[in-house]
Amino acid sequence: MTSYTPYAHTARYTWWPALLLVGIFFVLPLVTLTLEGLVPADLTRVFTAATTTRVWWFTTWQALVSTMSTMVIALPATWLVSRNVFRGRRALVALLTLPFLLPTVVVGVAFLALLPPSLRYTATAVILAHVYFNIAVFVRVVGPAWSAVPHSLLHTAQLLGASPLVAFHTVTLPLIRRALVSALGLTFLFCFTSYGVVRILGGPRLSTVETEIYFRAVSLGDTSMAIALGIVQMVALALVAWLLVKLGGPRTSPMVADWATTSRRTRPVLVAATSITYAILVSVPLAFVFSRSFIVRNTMSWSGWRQVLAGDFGAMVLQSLEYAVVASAITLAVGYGVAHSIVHRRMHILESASAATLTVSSVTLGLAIIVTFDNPPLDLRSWWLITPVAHALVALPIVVRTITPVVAAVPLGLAHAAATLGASPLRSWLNVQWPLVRGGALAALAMSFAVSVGEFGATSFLTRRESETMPVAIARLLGRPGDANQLGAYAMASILIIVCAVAVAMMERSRVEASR
Amino acid sequence: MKQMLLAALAGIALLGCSSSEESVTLTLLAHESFTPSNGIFDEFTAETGITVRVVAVGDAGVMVTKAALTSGNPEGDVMWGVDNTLLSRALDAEVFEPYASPLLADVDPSLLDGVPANEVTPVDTGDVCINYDIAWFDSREIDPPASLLDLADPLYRGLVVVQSPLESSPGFAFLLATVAEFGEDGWRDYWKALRDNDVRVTSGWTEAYYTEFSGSSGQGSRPIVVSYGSSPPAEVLFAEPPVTAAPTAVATDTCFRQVEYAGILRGTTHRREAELLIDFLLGKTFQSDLPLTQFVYPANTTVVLPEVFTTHSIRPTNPLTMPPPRIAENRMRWLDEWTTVFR
Repeated sequence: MTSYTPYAHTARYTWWPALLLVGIFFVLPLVTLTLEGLVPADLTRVFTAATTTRVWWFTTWQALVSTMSTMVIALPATWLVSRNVFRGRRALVALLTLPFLLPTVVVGVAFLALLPPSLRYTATAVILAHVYFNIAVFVRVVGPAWSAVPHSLLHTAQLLGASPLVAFHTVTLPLIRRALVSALGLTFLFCFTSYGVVRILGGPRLSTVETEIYFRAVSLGDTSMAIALGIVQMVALALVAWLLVKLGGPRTSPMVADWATTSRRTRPVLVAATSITYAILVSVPLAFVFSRSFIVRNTMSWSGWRQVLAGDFGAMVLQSLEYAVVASAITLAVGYGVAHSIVHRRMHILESASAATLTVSSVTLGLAIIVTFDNPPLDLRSWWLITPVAHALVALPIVVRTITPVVAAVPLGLAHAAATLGASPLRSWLNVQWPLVRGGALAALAMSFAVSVGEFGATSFLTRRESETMPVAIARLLGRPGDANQLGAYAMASILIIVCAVAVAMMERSRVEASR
Repeated sequence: MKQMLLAALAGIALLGCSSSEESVTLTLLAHESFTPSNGIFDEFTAETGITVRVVAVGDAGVMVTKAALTSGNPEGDVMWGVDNTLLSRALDAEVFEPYASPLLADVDPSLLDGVPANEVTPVDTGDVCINYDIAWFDSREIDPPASLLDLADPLYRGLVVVQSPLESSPGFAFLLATVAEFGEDGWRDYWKALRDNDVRVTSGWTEAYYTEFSGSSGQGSRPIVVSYGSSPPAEVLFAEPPVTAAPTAVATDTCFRQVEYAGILRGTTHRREAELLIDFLLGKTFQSDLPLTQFVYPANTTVVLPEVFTTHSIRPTNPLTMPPPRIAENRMRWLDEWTTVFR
């Protein structure tokens, strides 16, 4: 432990707000729910019941195949945006990020309508959708590391006779390994705990642990079995997270904050062809959503947009935005504290610990929160902050991963110099550190903003009419007969896409500013 | 440490609810399909001085699950929208306090069968029925299906889409319809016949109605779907551009009757006000609002139905139904057995 920085003292405490948030709104409810609702015998029933054995098997293999397929499809895109300089690159990064942020209820239904009928309600449909939603994880997590691989190293390898493949294997791979493992891990978590995609695209024959939890708790009222499944899933995924930390190995290169633009080689045809292919593939479902907002039964109608722009829906949009502002402020403040501790006290365990919230089903968490906070003085069920707090829990792991590299990239020498000149840690942080991380912080803010706007799982469980969010309203409209309701649902989904796109564009812009 | 935390949280919680009005505010819990007209409670507030806060808590299944977990310590004072397929679960968990509204005299007496002790009050009914695409059958000069048995006929092979009873409320109602129609001995064979007749099962209503069904704006490929008895009038009312005839119709002999109830939640501190609210929910003003905002039939028989309902929908006179205790008793077994046939 020789790495003491002027921030080492504060970094001891800055992760405490995160501990408080996760402790009170995550750990406490889960413990309460377990103590109140679990019949211990169900923990063994989780493994022995015939249906659940099948559920575990399907959940695991589809998550593995989805993760690997995502990697295969996403790596060329990652290479494209991290190793090439071309016009529209940032727009492409933004476009690739969008699906990840949109609620599955919207894109899932669009995706289903676009699939050939023979593929609907199959494992293939589920895997395709998982690939579509998670390309962003690889692009965003692996991209920055890949772009930082010095071009000179690859050049040297090639001079020494290495083929591009060998050069990738011997030079690039070791340098991006950590980021790659991190992306694999996150994608695996998302695919394993996927709910909306499996329900909509998998149909009733395919069931994951997550859909089984919902079915047990809500359709059968068998909360004990649902909790048992939730606990086992959490333990299994925690194990996976731990394994990944081991596999990831030590940091092989200083993490970088931004897409370095080391490559100057031009491959115009290849670049153009690849980027157009990806842009089209990603845009098709989104374009379908837009088209459905004004075309119905082959005729044009703007009634959906008129509905959305009229009073009621306007209030709903504002409600979503209000939650998003609060949620992203909480997430950034808390997440920054975690990043500070990770970087300045080498508390790397926090990075994987922050993924804990991803291992729990939103149904379980929703039930847990209801059961825990139902007694005065802690009757928080009707507290308006509950929804943004739930959003913050969902966005935290992503924000921690976005902002940690930014904080780590600030040269420590600057802080030392400030300290030598007599600046207090706070002053040095304000004058030296903050200006350098501001861009990255804004990016993280935009990311959690978009996550909050699109969040559906926990919200659908905690939602209250006075505070209905856009995704919840879209799901409600999609659940009613009548063309006008469809138009309204898709018009609102289009607005959601636009809001997320603006957030992502802002994020990209702040990255540019940060790198200047 | 823990006490400090709790105290701090309590402080935050107090800041959160800064209401200090003199008048009583009632919280009405409802499922997410509860969408009455704006300002519908103004009349109630003007008469009684009681403010009503509507809180949607997820779909009906989620709502009952939550209510059962917090029985005796409810999230609100009154709950709207538990239906006969879920009622027993709520009653077993002792979620409600009985109340007999004087307005029950105006309610169709058959609706009171399921609740002899007035644990809850019936407020509306709806039917889950086979819907079909009129144009599809017209253009091919084929008769649309008229009964559940027809759906297993090779004539309708590959034309039917239903929802999974495991995950969907209309899907479960349709399963109950088949049990009610074919009995404990026959329903499994019927489902085997459906399966062999290439029926499609989706997880939810949205995929069935909008992706697979040919009569909706999604223009899928199957002309027969499980939906609601009120879907045809909804297709007219929400048509874009306006139409004079519904594109879809209902096979009235396939309908299962769902009854929705409202009840006073056990543990409320406003028992007397909650009674007044139940009376209002059963009263003419509120009941008249139901058909066009939520596409259900009012339980209060003195309410006149809007024309769009009477013109575009035929109410089944003798729908299939089942007493709530029988549903509760067999729910898990039926779902398990359905799974062995279908998954």
